This record gives sequence, structure tokens and C-alpha cells, in this order.
Amino acid sequence: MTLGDLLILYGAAGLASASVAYRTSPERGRSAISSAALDALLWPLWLPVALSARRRPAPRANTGDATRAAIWEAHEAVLGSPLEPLLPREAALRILGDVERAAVRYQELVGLLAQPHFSLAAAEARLEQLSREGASARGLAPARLHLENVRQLEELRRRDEQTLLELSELSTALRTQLVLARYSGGAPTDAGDIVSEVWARVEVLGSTLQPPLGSAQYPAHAPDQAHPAG
Amino acid sequence: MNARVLGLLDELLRSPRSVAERVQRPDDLRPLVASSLLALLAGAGTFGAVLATARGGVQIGYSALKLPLAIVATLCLCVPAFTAIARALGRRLELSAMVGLSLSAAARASLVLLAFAPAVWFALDRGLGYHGSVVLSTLCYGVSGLSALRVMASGLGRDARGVAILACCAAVMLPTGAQSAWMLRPFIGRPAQAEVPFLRHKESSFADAVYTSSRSSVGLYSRRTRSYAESEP
Repeated sequence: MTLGDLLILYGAAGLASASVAYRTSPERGRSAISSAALDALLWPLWLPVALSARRRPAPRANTGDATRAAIWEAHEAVLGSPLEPLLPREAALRILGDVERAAVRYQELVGLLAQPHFSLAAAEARLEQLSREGASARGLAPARLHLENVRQLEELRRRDEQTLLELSELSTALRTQLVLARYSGGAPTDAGDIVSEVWARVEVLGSTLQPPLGSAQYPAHAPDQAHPAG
Repeated sequence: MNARVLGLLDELLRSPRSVAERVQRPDDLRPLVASSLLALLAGAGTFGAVLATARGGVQIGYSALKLPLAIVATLCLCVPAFTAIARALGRRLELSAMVGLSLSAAARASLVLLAFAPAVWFALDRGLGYHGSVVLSTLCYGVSGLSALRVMASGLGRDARGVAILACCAAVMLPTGAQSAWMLRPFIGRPAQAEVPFLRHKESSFADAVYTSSRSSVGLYSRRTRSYAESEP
């Protein structure tokens, strides 16, 4: 195989890679074209990078459905049994309401932060640009405030995501624990601890929630009233 | 050149550890790779051009093009192997992250070469001979390679596993890089040469040249040796 043959093969692979990079680019326009052009020349190095942008993990679509299903099934598992005070109906309904509101808010935050006006990178770039152009402190202040607000929104989204994820895991464990206790007839040794953990996470969600007026689908109770296990 | 690129280049030189963390974040990878490519083209290209000033003429343009090309070609061939080595030895690194890490390391080396360029130019201008230029450029490559090693070590870890991965990667990269550069020579060019070729004819490999030069150094010459001895970096 001659050098010419190798160059033809390299070029053909480069064109194919450029096409893949363009099609899979998350954006269109100049950015996608420059990415494809770079890929045609340097596909062994640029293609994995271009594809990694596409593989960027999408924010987890946590709707809280699985968590609520697990909580309700856990409640049904103890219904009419001596274990019912561990997760009474009022407490279960309170958790369901809080989880639902938190999941709705999380989805709203995800949608909001996907918009260009709420892009963290764009806010940082804008501040950099203004600094470079020699804007005064007064001129920079709004851009700084915007950046700080976007950062806080991102932080809220992260916290909600993490808490909902932990709640999901805990409610799954609680369900199996209570179902096991019901069928084995024994006392659930760890169920009380898990219920406490669930309440702690619900309190975290509640601390950042502002429930809209009239949105209380489920009757709200104070945690100490609704949580007999402590 | 925007402030973000300059910031990334500054980070490349000052903080290899944060560069190594950056390659793990897909959002940061594209700008880092693009800035690294830019640094590689500018740094290695300038150093290549400076090396060719002793010969002058079209050799300057050729070397400015060929030195970055040699580095990029070496990375294209080696990065998949680096990823395989890292994974085989238990370090989970995506191919894209390894591309980012290797390119950042090469960019750092290129920026160090760029820093050496004025001194090398001065030495060549003061009449440093052909063989002296070869030795001087080899020293510069060595120092820049050591600076690149810091980025790779930060990304692969400084424990025994990281050192083992680094050693295996070096065992792949050194012969591949040497052969790539050998195929793309000349970079300096002999002043007495009438014509300047973009590439020399394919006549041997880097390993052959090392073997022949070793024999020549102890006074063992052969007909084959003659042609290799005339070869130039």
C-alpha cells in the first residue's frame, strides 16, 4: 500500500466521520460545520470528542412516580396490621404530596436551565466579555447577578435531583422491608430507621418548596404528627 | 483569540491537575481539545520554523508544517492504544477523555517548545552547526516531553497503577513518535543541500538508523551503513 492509498483511505474515513459528527452535533450552524470540518482532517482525535458531546448524559427524568408507587405499596403492606403506625395513611399521603411537588419543580428547573437565557456557560462568557471590554463595576453588576442567579438555580436542580434519587432508593428499601415484615410475621428491625431517613429527605424537599396556593392535593400534616415512628 | 482559550492555555501551563480534571467533564472537553490543537499548531509550528532557519528558504515552511504533523500523527496512532492500556490496567477512562489528556499534554509540550524557540533561534543565528542544532533540539524535545509527562501523570494517577500505565504508554509512544518524525524528516536541513525535499525517500526505519549508528560509533561500517549515515534528522 502506497502513501497515496493511505491518504485516500484516511480522507474517505474523514468524510464519513465528518458526516457522523455533523449529524450527531447537539447544535446546528457554524459550530456544527466547524466541528465537521475539523473531524474531516483529524477524525482519529476529534470524532471521540464530538461523539462525547452527543453522549452527554441527559438530566435524569425523575418524575417521582416510582418513589410514590413504592411509598404507597409500603403503606398498603402494613395496612390493617400491627405495623400500620409505622407508615399510616396520613403520613403516606403527606410524603406522596411532597414528592409530587418536588418532582414537578425539578422538571421545571430542568426545562428552564436548558434554555439559552439560563445557560451557565453563556452567563460566564457574557461576564468575561464585559470584563474584557473594560466595563465598569456598575456595568458588570447585572451580569454578575445574572450569573449568580443561574448558579443558584443550577444548585437547586442538583439538590432536588440528588434528594429525589435518595428518596427513590429509600422508598424501594422501605417497601421491601415492610412487605418482608408482613409475610415473615417478624418485627421490621430497620424499617423505623428507613422511615426516619425518608422523612429527613422529605424535609429537605420541603425546605426549598414554595407550594402554590390551592395546590395541596393531599392533606398536609406536621411531620411530628404524621410520623408516629419518630 | 478569546479570553477562554487564553485561560485554558494558562491553565495548561500552570495547573496540569485541573486540566486532568477537565478532561473528565464532557462540557469542558471540546474547548480544551480545540485550545490544545491551537497551542500545538502554534508552539510546535514555530519551533519547527525556527529549527529550519539555519537552512532557510522553503525549509522553514516545511518544518513549521511537519513538526505539528509529526506530533498529531503520533497521537492519532497512539491514543486508542493508551485507552486500551489504561482500561486493561483497571483505570476507567473514556477514549474522548484520553484524547483530551494526550492532546493537553502535547499542547503543554508545544508551549514549552515555543518558549525555547527564541533561545534556539539565537543559537542558530550565532552560527551553531548542524550537529549542534540536532543536539540542542533533542534537549528541547526532552524537556518539553517531561513537562507533558506531568499532565499525563495527573490524569492517570500517581499511584503504582498510574505509573505502570504511564510506562506502558511511553513504550508505545516513543517508537511510534520516533518513526513518525523519522518519516517526516528533514526538519533542520543541511545548509549545503541544493534542494529541499518535503519528505525524504523511504530508505530505512528509525530502529535501523539507531542500530546502524550504534555500529558506526564503534567503528563498524558497511555499505548499508553509508546510506544510513548520510541520513539526517
